[in-house]
Amino acid sequence: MNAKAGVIAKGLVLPLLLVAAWTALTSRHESLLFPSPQKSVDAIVDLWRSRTLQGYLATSLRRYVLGLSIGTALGFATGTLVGSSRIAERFLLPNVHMFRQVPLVGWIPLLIVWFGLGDLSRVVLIAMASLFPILLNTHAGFRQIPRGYLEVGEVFGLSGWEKVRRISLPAALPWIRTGSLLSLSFGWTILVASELLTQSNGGLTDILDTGRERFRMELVNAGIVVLGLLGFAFNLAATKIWSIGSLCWRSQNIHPSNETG
Amino acid sequence: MDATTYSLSRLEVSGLGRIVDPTDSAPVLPSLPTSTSKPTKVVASPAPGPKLSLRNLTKVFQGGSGEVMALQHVSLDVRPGEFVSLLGASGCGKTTLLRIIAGLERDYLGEALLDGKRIERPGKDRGVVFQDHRLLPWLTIEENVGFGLAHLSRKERTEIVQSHLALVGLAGFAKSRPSQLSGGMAQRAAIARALATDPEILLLDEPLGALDALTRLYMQEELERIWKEKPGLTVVMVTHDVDEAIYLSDRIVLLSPRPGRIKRILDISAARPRSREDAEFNGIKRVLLEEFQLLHEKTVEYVI
Amino acid sequence: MRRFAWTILAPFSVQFAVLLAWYLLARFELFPPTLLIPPQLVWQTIVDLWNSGDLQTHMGWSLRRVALGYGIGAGAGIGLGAALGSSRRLEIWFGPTLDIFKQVPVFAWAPMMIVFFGIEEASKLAFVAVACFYPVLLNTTQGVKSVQAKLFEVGEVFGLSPRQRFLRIVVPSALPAVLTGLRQSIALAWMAVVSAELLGAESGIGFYMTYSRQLFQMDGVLAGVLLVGAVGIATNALFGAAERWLVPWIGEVA
Repeated sequence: MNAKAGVIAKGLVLPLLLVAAWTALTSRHESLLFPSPQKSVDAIVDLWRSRTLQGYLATSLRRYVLGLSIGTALGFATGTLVGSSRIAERFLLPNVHMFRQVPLVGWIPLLIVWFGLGDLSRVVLIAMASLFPILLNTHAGFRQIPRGYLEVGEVFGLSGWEKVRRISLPAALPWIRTGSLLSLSFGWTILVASELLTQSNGGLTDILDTGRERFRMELVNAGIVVLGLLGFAFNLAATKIWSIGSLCWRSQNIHPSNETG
Repeated sequence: MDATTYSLSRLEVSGLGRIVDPTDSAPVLPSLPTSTSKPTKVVASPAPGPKLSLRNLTKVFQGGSGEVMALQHVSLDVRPGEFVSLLGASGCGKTTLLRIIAGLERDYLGEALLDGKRIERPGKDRGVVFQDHRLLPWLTIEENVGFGLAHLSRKERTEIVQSHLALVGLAGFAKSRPSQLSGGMAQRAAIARALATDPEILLLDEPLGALDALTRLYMQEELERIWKEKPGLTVVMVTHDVDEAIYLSDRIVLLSPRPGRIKRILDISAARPRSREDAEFNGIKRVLLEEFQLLHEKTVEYVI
Repeated sequence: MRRFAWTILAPFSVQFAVLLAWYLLARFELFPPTLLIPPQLVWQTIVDLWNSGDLQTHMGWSLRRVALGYGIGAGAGIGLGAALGSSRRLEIWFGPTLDIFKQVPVFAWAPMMIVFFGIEEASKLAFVAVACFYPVLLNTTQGVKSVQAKLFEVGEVFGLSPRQRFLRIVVPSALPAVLTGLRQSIALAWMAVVSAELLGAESGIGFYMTYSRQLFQMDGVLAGVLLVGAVGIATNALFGAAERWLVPWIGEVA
């Protein structure tokens, strides 16, 4: 345990050093481009006190959760479909792969024309972003189920549905988990992209935009920190949720795909 | 005097048993062994008919280079409470035969009957133990053993699971996970799982094949002990290990490959537990090994 | 023959169906022309762009930015990745810092780049470089780290100098992972270029799409989408082929 604590401590040295150095340097010589960290902290506190931050948070979260839910649901359903049906796999999967290679942001002008500059475009984009990782990983999860386990199901006379519930799903779960975590993080990235590229209007990236337009670097810094922290928090929360009870079994040789798509 | 005649008379002289030539017109069983065999086993009053009846089973696989006749006109009867081994080198169709009995292979010619009823699909009346234990890694050992008991109440299930864990000697490992168990222990759990549903017949597909040699010897004894604790249980075991077959079986069915056919059926009436050192045992072993040499003129494919 | 039809034609049938639907929807004007243009017209637009040279100009700008930004970002990624992968010490001291920065969604860096470098080329290149840095870094670190100790020992046994060990054992061993990282990165780089151009540019495919949109020229927008997609697919295919060629001893490329 001591060794591990030591590693963590060593790792934190550099970041803390950087922050300290930055504070020290800017206390003597402030410039527009390099405000002190204190200023960013103040800015965030202000935003919180004026309830603006909460508003931004609510808006961004609404878009994120909506897009994520739709994308994950669709992705999981399609992933299960191509994972269980060879026919569906044949027809759909190569197209999924091809579609995935079209950069998501390329769709933005089209989405704006179709759905306007409002939330619909953003939610659609986020849904598209979170669809692929979970689709591909769910597919991989179902495809790797060892035939032997399915035979165990047969030998005990399980019905088709029972086999899926008691064998296929648990066997594919580690992959589904990886897919969902990837979807979560990529979805967050695309939320930020969607807000920046469609003139945010009320989301967290307004902090960044304001900072950029008014040349207030401390806001830009603050925005980056807030977005990074939130992304980290979501990932942490999701990981914790996935490790509840029987969800956390581990198979000997899992190598789930790490591609975000 | 050729080898076959010599071994025949040797065996008959020593009173160990008889070799049944499957080309006999009546490929059914010889009379029941004498009372010197299996003293500890309770043999029920003569059953009305065979437990398992296989008639003219023929199975063809479409291989990469044409057809492979895995089984050709294989017929066999298994009596209730018997321990039968299917012995042969790879490719002789023994696993295919077992899978047909298990109901995992459905596309074949011929007839397979359990207690007079057609075998159409897998079911809990036939317990199966695979070579790779196939314990589900996300379940604990007790959940694995109770896998086929989902329809029972919790109380009933727990009772049955506990008793079977005790039977295979894994009483303290109920809450462990398969990844925490050694090969031998995992296989014992698999056996417990198969027996928990109280099957009519236990099918073992090279159950000890994945274990190291020392564990295998130990597990053979365990297997016999467990079988004895389940009076009346019929067992069909696939193996390529001659010693194992002789140690455990009442009858050994020798299969030859390409096409898969029964070459010989050997009755083993030696007293249990059998000793691998003594003359009886080794006598039978000689017979079997000679059989293999007849089957494979050039190379010897068995492992002792 | 039947098998061929199954494997090759099946996916195409879906694409064909989509194309057909598109054509029919436009043909019967189920959507106003401001929302949907028939595929033939879009194709015509692309051809026109090609003939007028505009396509080459815009594409040239975009690809140039990709190449430069990618070069910087991927280069830095490989360099740092190799360093962190080979020295556990470096990894312990510097790794967490990089991890912290990795948490920031990549697009959040764009405004900062604009503030620092202005709205011109430099900020775009900086953004692209940042975007493609991490996949390369992570995969390279992993690749170098996982060069099996036993292979290293082979190098020692054969008396190879550290430099030779690096070239003849570490590089081929880590290559598959590095190539995966490079492939993931080029996709991100392309996405970063298009975004940067969508935000504020006077040239490039992204700019062309925004320009068309503001002028309500649907054909331009759709043409842009197709072009962007085509480049994405082509680069992925290219990198995939390069991977198979360079590291044929590895099985499937995901």
